[in-house]
Amino acid sequence: MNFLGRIAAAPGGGAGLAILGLLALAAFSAHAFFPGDPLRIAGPALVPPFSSGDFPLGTDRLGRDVLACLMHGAGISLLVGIAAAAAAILLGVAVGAVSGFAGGFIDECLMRVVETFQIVPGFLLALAFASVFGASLPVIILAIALAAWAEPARLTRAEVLSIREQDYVASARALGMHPLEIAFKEILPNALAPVLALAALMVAGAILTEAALSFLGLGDPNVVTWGSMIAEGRNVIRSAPWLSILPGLALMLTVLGVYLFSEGLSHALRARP
Amino acid sequence: MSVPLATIRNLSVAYDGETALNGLSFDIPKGGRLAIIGESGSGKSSFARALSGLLPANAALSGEIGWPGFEDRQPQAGRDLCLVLQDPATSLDPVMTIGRQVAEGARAHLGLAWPQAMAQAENLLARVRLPELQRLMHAFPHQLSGGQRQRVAIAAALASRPRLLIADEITSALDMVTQAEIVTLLRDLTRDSAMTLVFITHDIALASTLCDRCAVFHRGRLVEIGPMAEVLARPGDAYTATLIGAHIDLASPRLIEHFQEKWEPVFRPEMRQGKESGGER
Amino acid sequence: MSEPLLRVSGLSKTFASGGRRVLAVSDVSFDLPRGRTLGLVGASGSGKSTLARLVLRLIAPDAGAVHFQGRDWLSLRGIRLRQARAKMQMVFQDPASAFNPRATAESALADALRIHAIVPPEDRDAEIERLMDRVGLWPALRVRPVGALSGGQRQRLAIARALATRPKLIVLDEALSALDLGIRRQILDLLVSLQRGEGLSYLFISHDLAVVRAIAHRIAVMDAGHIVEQGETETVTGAPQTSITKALIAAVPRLIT
Repeated sequence: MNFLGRIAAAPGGGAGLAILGLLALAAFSAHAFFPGDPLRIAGPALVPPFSSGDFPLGTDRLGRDVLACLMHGAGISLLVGIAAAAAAILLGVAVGAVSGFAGGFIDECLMRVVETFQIVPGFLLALAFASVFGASLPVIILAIALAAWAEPARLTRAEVLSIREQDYVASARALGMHPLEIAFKEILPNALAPVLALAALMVAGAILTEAALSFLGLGDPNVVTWGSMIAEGRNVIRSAPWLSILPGLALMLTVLGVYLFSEGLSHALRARP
Repeated sequence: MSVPLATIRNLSVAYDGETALNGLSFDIPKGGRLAIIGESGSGKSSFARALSGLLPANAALSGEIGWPGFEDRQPQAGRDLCLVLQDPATSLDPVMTIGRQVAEGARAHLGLAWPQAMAQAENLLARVRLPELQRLMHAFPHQLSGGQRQRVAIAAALASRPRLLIADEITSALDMVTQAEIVTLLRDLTRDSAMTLVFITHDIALASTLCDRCAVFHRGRLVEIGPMAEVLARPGDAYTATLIGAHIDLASPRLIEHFQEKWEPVFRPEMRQGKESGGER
Repeated sequence: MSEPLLRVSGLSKTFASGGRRVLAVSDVSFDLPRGRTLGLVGASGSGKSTLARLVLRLIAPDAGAVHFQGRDWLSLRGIRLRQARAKMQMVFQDPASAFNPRATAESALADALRIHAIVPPEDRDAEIERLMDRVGLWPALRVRPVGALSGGQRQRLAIARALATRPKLIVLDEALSALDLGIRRQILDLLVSLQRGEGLSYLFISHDLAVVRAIAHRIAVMDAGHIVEQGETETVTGAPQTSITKALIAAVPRLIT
């Protein structure tokens, strides 16, 4: 709680927390407010926003409730974003840490692999992966993670290499601490702080990648996502622009919230007494 | 005494509400070498920054610094007064050669063209007694030792012919031999010049080898000021006496009792031979 | 006493730096008996710190031998080395970087006690208190993050951590150089009283000959990786034989009254 307090106290951190809290609330309460499949036809088509008490944000051209779709979509966006970022961080930290600790030949090999992933544009990689293995949520999460793990790997390796040379690691060695304990207690926790600050930004990136994949029709067709809503709205953008604008705004707000949160997070991680 | 260089009246500095300097009032005479002596937390670095007008944005300054020595105008840092810091690595540009670095000041403040400025830089680097000038002029800061970098920082400070040089703990990152060399250099540079030196240090003995006046700071306050010899001989404050008492030099009593059993010196002939055969390779 | 606590013979180390080979420590030999202090002085870059790290086995030497407590110190491996390290501890110059940024005073000492099972777990609290008391840290500082301690307090804590494993030898690498004069004096007094009480030996490394003279029984002067002069403290400071030592003596500031 103390840590959340420090994030909230950081400039922008409070706003970020509030936005993310709101989104989480929307995602969790979606089933309570709008039970059933949000993709079912709920009423007349193309009801404009703020014109009907039943459909506060209107309906799309198949008569689906836009607010229900947005709230259900919030859950998917956050799930994909967090899961993909977590998977990328996990993979990246593991590879980076092994690379940094092992050094020598293993380090060389792993870093060449990382560079291979870095020179391929992440989005193309995710696109190719999703189109080969089919569009389902786990595949999309994995595809986004594959596109994003290289940066945390490099960062973890660099941190491990620099912390290894610190006096306190030398102290731990002179104290007779076991090498594994030095790795897990002295080095890794301190190497992770900047990686964690990066994690929040990666969530924002993953949400955008997911939206882009859905927009291109490579999202999971069985769930509603903001990207697919924007793609859907594109067909009627002249007559019903709100169908594209509303999910677009939701996306923007989410990324802003995640970004502010990450600023607050890195501030809080830095400001350790 | 004639017109002082600077008059400090009731000067206080606080950072975000925390007081660093509290109600200082004294004069800095023209010429001569003034030591500011204080330990960590004494406010001596805040004083250096306040004097050179380089306090950070979150510092609140109250009181007055008057500059009768500059005809009452505000002296410009980098031209009329120069500040040299403990770590020259932070004040030297890492991607600029030593020669250009020093010439820059002469060019900007004395209005010299580049060729003359470079010649001037070479003179200055010779004055701070750097060796191998031709090579050094084209070297970068990271290729120099700590003591050499500090000499470059002093040369760069002298380039604009300032009337006041403020040296803030400039020897505390150096070893003793280099420290002694830098102090000798400062002594020679200020001996026949109108330039005033404010030498800030935690080491009262070091200050005593260089300065003629001395001000002792403690927890943001001025506890004592006077001619160096007088302060040392008759400290007017208990804190100054503590500082003098904590000093250790080669005449101080040793802290260990004289031991009885003799400690055999290392002499192992078999090792000597081993070394020589190893040294041939 | 026949066998010294620490015997260093012909220790050498060369670093490769940017294609150049730098001889950091070259054929260094000395003895350090129990309960004594060897002062190691020299300018920066003379190889003092490398020598300390070689003796502590933080880096491996190219050649030479180290005998510690009568054992071949360089041949120890794995668990046997880690256990033996309890008897040789070190205090660094910069106490700010010598502790994990996440450590508290208590956790730093608890680690040392736990690794070497110095006291049973139930007595650990009392032992931490005793150690802090020994170096003059009051109990309220136990839970402080190390970053919230003053420089002098941190250095006391570093000494307490070094003492925790009941060592025979403490290597002090410029341990007092970053401290104010008053605190430096207090820590010197502390070191001397610990030596008297426990028969500790110190390898005391500093560029300040005056401080070394005050605490060391013998002095070795280093320059460019070599020990150029070695002898009784009074002899070295009173009748220096080399220009290096003379320069170090001349560099000590004297109070000019």
